[in-house]
Amino acid sequence: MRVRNLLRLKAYGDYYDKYSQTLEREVIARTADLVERSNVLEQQAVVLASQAALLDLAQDAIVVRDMQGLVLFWSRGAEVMYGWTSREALGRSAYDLLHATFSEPIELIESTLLRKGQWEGEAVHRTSGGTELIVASRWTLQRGVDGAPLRILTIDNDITGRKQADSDRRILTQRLSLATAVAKVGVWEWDLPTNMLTWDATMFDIYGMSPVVPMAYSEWSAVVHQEDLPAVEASLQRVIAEKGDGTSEFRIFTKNGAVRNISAVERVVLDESMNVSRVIGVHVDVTERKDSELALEQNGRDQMRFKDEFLSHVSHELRSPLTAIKQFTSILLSDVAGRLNDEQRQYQQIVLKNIHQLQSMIDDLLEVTHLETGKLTIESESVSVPDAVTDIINTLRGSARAKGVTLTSDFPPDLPPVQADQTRLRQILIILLDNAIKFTPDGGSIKIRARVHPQDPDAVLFEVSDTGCGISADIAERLFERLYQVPRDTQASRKGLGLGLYICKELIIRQSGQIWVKSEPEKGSTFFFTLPIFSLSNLMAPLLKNDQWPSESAALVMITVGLPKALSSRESRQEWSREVRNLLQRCLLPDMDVLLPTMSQAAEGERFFVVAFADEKGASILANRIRRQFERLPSSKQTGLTIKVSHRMLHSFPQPLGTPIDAMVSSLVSHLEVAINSPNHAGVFHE
Amino acid sequence: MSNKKILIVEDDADVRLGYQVLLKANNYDTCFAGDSTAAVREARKHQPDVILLDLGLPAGDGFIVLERFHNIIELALIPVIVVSARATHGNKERALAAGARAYIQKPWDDSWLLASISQILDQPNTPRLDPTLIAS
Repeated sequence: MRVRNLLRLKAYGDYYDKYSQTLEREVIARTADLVERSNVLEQQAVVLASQAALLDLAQDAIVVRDMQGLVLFWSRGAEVMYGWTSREALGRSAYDLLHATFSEPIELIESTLLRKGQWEGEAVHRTSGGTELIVASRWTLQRGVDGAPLRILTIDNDITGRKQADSDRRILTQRLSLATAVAKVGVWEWDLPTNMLTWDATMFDIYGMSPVVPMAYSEWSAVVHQEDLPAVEASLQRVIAEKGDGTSEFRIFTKNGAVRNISAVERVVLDESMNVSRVIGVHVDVTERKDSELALEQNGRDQMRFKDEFLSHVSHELRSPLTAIKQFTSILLSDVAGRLNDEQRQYQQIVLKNIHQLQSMIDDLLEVTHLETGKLTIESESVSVPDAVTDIINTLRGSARAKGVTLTSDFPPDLPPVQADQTRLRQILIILLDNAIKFTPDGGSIKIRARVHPQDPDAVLFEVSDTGCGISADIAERLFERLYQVPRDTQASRKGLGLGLYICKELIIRQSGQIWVKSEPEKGSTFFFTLPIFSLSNLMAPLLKNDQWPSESAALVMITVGLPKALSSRESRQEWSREVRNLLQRCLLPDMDVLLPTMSQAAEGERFFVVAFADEKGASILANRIRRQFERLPSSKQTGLTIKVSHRMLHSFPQPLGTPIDAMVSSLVSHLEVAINSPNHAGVFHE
Repeated sequence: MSNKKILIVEDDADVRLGYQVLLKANNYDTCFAGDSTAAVREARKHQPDVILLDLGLPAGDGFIVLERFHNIIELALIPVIVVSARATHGNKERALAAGARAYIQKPWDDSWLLASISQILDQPNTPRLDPTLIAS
């Protein structure tokens, strides 16, 4: 039995072992399963936690609520935005918490949400502190497994600031457009790819057009004044090319035909790739300003004219009594009214000298008026310096001798002629010498020197030096100012009007020269001035460069006028010479022919040269026309005035295309020089 | 040979007297007019060899007188010298264009005035260069 029991026991034991092993395996497997599950759960928890953290990281307020509106989830963003903590918010009604109002009725929102599963819109929420926020709200409906609505996820974005900025911008824009409208500033935009313009209402007002938006560029360019359009378009193109901004002024025609002046400012707008896509700008109607500017200018001119007329009138009124004084002084001095004794004569000479001073002051006054009103005329010609200087010395020798001052000159005999107005050169020299005589004491000396400028081979340098009282450097600087008076107390001599050196400077500047002074007190002064050496190139170059060549060939016409003996005085010769020049000028075509200044004087009379841009036929027509006009003058027969007119072609023409202008000028000039300076004109010119 | 006669058109009595003394001393006969109406009347009456004409005159200035002379056939050829205190610039050109033979600025130098008179008397009946001739 024992055996049997034992066997049984053993069988039980086996079973037990087997069972326990199975159980053990099971437990191990189960445990492993459990571990695995808990691992997964743990992992899921980590993922969820990190997702919640992500939600919390978002600045947007993320709120989950159930269908009754009770808060299930309240993100960190919501805490910050609304001021309620998650703990405070959970389980409460989101609507009540936030005092929510929406851009549309809540029923409508809910039906949209149920139908589409989503809603987007604006809402106004109140924070725990009572501040109202405008939020952009997005709602998403979550349904359960059975499809029934379960939860609503809302994401709110605070747009209060943006809304404020929008409204600020709207106010600014309104203000700006009010300002531009009131100030009548038209704003425009030019879209380059489409070449269309967008104008604001003021633009259409300025242009007197009915609004068209957008408008073709050509509709604008058509009303711009044709004379101004090229400049305006060039300005626009420059702005585009330089990617910058610019200004322009131009005239437009309005619908009713009125001309308005527009002042414009334009600026480019660049796209992302820094290309010019648009140009924006403003136009202002400145017609009234322009008009008042013109009125102001006119006013200035009127004043100038008034001053001019006043000075003319004054000098006229001063001259009339002076005329009678001078007449009778001269009569007394000429012994017509009985012989004067030496003392009486001396006194009358003093009167006459003072008359001359007064006369020259009146002349100066008028001269300055002419300088300032542009009435002063300068007729440049070739002037011999030795002749001019000798002439002046002869004129002033008397007054220098009367003061015990010696007058000398120094110039090389071969000094080239200067390009100047003979009368004006005389005037300049007289002013400088008169001054020198005035300020040089008895026994002193005055010297006129002329030579080719050591530093400038194209100019003659004149020097007028005296051994007078001299002036200090600071005074020397101001000497050429208008109405400047040298302050001196010891000088007995009268001051005069202080216009002489000013006139001198103006005359020299207008003849392309310069004037300056070097002086040392008690030792004397030297006045320097320059005048350009006469050259045909200088004379012709601007004429030729000024335009295209008027013609392909050029001719030189020479007119020799033999003056009758009766006209032998210098003044009358000058007078006649001017008459002849006037007559010649009237025979010429202003843009084709050039009357050269006096350059040579022949024994038989005076010579005039005309450069005509014409062919052989044209040149001979011109020569005949001149000859005929002279012959028609009654004076030419009655006074024995003789005229010889001849011409020759200058054969350097036509020049090949592309010859540099300088080469053409110098070629023409060298031909002219040969022809003019030829000793035997009859041989060179064919009659 | 009788003296040449000069008509002086001048409104200033002092200046007229001055002319008279100077011209008489240089063997000219003189006659006078003090305004523009008298100028034409005296010119017709005396048929002078030369007329010295002031520009500032009562009853129409010297330019009007020049124009009247120009339109009266027996006066048109009498040479006129304008002697004026007005600025030379502008007035001279205008006077010469209107037919004057010379323009002398007041106050003048006697020698220059006398030379101009004698020069013009040496060339009788020669009108100055006439722009209308050139224009044709």
